[in-house]
This record gives sequence, structure tokens and C-alpha cells, in this order.
Amino acid sequence: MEGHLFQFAVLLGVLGFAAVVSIALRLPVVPLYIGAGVFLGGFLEPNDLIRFLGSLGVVFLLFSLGLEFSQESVARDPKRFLRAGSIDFLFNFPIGLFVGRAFGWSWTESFCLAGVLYMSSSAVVSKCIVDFGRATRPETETILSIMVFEDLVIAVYLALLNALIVGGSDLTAAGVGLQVFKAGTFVLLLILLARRFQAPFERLISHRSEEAFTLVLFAFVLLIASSAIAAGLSEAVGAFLAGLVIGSTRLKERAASTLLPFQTLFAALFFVSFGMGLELRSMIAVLAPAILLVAIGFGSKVAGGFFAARSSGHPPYQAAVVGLSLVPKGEFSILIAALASSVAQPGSDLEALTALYVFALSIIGPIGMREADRLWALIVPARSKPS
Amino acid sequence: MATHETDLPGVGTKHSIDIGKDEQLVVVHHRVGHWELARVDTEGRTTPFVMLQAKEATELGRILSRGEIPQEDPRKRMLFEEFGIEWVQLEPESPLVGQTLQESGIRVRTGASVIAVLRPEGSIPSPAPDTRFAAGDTLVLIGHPDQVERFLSAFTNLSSNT
Repeated sequence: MEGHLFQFAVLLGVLGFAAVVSIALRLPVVPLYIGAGVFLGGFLEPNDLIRFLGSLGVVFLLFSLGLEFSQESVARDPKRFLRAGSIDFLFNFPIGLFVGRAFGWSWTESFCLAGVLYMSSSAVVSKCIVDFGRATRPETETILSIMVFEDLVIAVYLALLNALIVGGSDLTAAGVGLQVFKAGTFVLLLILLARRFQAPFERLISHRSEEAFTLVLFAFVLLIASSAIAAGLSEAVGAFLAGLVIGSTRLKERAASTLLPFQTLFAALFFVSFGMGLELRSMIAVLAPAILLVAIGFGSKVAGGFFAARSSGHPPYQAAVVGLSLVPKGEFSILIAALASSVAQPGSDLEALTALYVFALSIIGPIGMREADRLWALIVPARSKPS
Repeated sequence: MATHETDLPGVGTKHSIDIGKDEQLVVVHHRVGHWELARVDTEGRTTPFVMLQAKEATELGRILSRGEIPQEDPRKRMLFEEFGIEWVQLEPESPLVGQTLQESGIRVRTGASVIAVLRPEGSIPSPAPDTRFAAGDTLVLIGHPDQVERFLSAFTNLSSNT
């Protein structure tokens, strides 16, 4: 007990320090948590308790993603939404599959790499938009609606990834079909139940006492997450769906504010335990392929974002800003790498590569966003002066 | 004049108002409560104006809407989760005029309680049972919406619109 408490105290102390550093240096916090994990991993073993709390962090992250999901962004102009989102996807997802195969990896690992390269970090992107005073700019809604598209893809992607991991290498088309069928039935059932029982459900869960509300809310989220596992989906997908259900009720704001401190704590534990599993030595060993990945990921994100924005009718300057704004990586790439660790072949180094990739792009991304004007001026010298 | 409202997921809500032919006033309500104002022209050039705290924005709103506030309503309300506080001005023809609080039986008949009587010459918080109502008094009532509704239909010609 005493040992546990002390270990926890050290862990949270280091995480707190990382958070302070992230604010002081104006850097995203996720890579710093992972860095703290790599540092702590030298003399602390992640135990089962920390891993379990970390997996709660994943559940809460995905729950919050579902909770904040903006249906309005989809409904505003579905065609434009789908077109921009698909262009971003086509530029960034297949290239990861291709690079993974070129590295000599299995299809499952390449599928993981594709996810790592494609998923941007909605948390970092929206924070940068606020911090750099870009909320009022015309291209901002396009950036955010592409992020919403990515959020939807994450839910589907995680369900498929789970099927690949559970199914192993001998996955057949019938196996995938069954998986999709099970997932579809689960989602449909959840939506029907949510529609039919919305009023009694709201009453059950919306207790005036904050204490009762917190407990019932989390019981609900974990219940849906665990039944998603039973339905052959992953707990992360279940949590996302639970978030969608609560997000469509009047309890949205209240649930978000109740969730926040727990999400902060448990997600931090997830990132730090991911970092603790990494070795500095293996990260240095993959430095060269990591630099290659960063160059590819940066280029394909900027290009994909540029053409996605052009398809939504933005002039070139705004489209370039959209491209640069989609670069930051973070929580989802790490999540995929953590899930992939169970299927990775020895020597594929997906985790170490992802850590370096996220490190680099979560720092380069925001800088690129901040300097977008100057970068544009370099490319298009003084022909037409953008704002 | 066209106005649009768009969701900015993770950031807040954006409102844009067309100004003249080729400019827009963009107002972003950040999730943390701030209000950001900017001008955007047709080519997307953005001139940021100001970032306001919630309180400052309320003050600005008050100044801008002055002169367009509708005639003072005889009925004001403040709604909480399950009950409300209502301000109701008594018409001369109200059966309450001339009665004391005790005689009126408001509490017994409707369930709503009178927590104050407002009059120009001096308001009475927590009125005693022998407080006598006069035409023009504003009664401040507290109760569930149906209790207030019962009060309105028994003693006034104001009907609830909720």
C-alpha cells in the first residue's frame, strides 16, 4: 500500500511538472507526458494498477470525443464535409499502408501505421486555433470540420483495428463481414434504445446531486464500453458511442464538466505508461526512419489539407493555412500505437517510431500554424499580400 | 441583412453578420466564455477587433440593445431548475386589491408564496399577514410553474405562455 502510494505520488508529481513545463514552453502536453514516461521508465515499472487506470483514460478520451461530436458540422453541408474529409483521408491514409509494406511490415502493422500518420490531434488543433487568435478566420470552420470527419473515421478505424487484432493474421473477408455486422447491430441497437428511452434515461442519470450524477454517468459509460467488447468492438468504440448518446441530450455540458478532471488524470496516466514501455535506446535506433516518416507525414498532411480546402472553395492562401493546421499529431496516434503493441512483430518498432513521430509533429505542427503567414510569403513573394 | 451561426467544434460558436455588400462582422463565442470580434472581407482578410470577457460582452450587449428593449412587461420571471420567481403587477380590477395577504389566501389556494411587495413609496420584503394590497403593487411570488399559473388565473388576467 505504502509503496503504491509513493509510486503514485512520484508519478503524478512528474506529470504535474510536465504539465507546468508545457504551459511555460507553450508546447502540447501529450509528448511531454510520454517524455516523462520514458524518463520514469528508467527506474519504475508500470504496474497493473497504472495500466488499468490508463485504459480508463482511453475510455474517457473517446467518451469525450463522442460527447463533443458536432452533428451540426456534418449537417451544415454534408457534401462539402464528405468531400473535404475524404481528400484528407485519401492523401494520408493509403500512404501509411504503403510505407508500412515498404518497411516490410505485416498488413496489420501497416494498417496501424496508416492510422498513426492520418489521425491529427483535435485537442492540439483547437487549442492552437484559440491561442493564435484564428477563431474568426474564414478557413477555421473547414479545419474543424475536417477534424470532425477524422473523429468519425477514428471510431470506425478502431472497430476494424480491433477485428484485425482479435482475428490475427488469418483474418478472412467473412471474418471482417461478421465484425462489421456485429458492430452495425450494436450501434443500431444503441441508437434505438437511446431514442426510445431518452426521457426516462435522462431522468435516471440527471440526478441533482453531483455525487449521484458522477457515479451513474461513469457506470453508464463503462457499461456501454464493456458491452462493446462483448459485441466484438473495442471499449474505445463503445465509449465513443456512449459519448454520442449523452451528447445528444441536455446533459452534454454537465457531463463534460464532470468528466474533465477524471479525463485529465487518467489520460495522463495512459500517456505516461505508454512512455514507460519505451526505451531510449530503441528510440535512438529508429531515428532515421522516424525522420523519413515525419517528412512524409508533414508533406501529405499539408498537401491533403490544401486540396481539401480548395475543394471547399477556399483561395490558395487559406488552403495553405488549412494544410499547415492539420499537421499536429497527438493522442490518437499514441492510442493506435499502444493497441498495436499486442500485434507488432519483434523488431518493427512501431511504438518507438510513433512516439518520435508524435514528438516531432506536435511541436512542428503548432509552429507551422503560427508562422503560416511568413511561410506563405516565402512561397508566394509579394505578389498578392494576404492578411 | 443575413446572419449565420456555425459550430466550431472544440472552440465555440461563430456568428457572422453581413455588413453592406462585401464585409462580415464575425463574432466567436469561445467555450470558455470569451467573445471575439473581427471584420472579414470577401477575400477572407481578417481584421481582429477585440476579445471581451463575458462581463464586458454583456455590458456591450446592454449598450447596443438600448432603445430596442421592448416596453416593460407587467410580468417578469426568473426560472431556476424546478421553480421560478415571478414579478406580477396588480391591475386595479384584480380581486386582490384591498385585501390583506392573510385574507387573500394566496398560499392556501395556489401554493405560491408572496416573498415581497414592491411599491414606489417603499417595498416590503417578507410581507406580514396584515399587509394590504393596492392597485399598482408588484407582487414577487415564488413557486412551481403550475402554482404560479394557478395564481395568475385566479387573481389576474395575465395568462401564462409556458
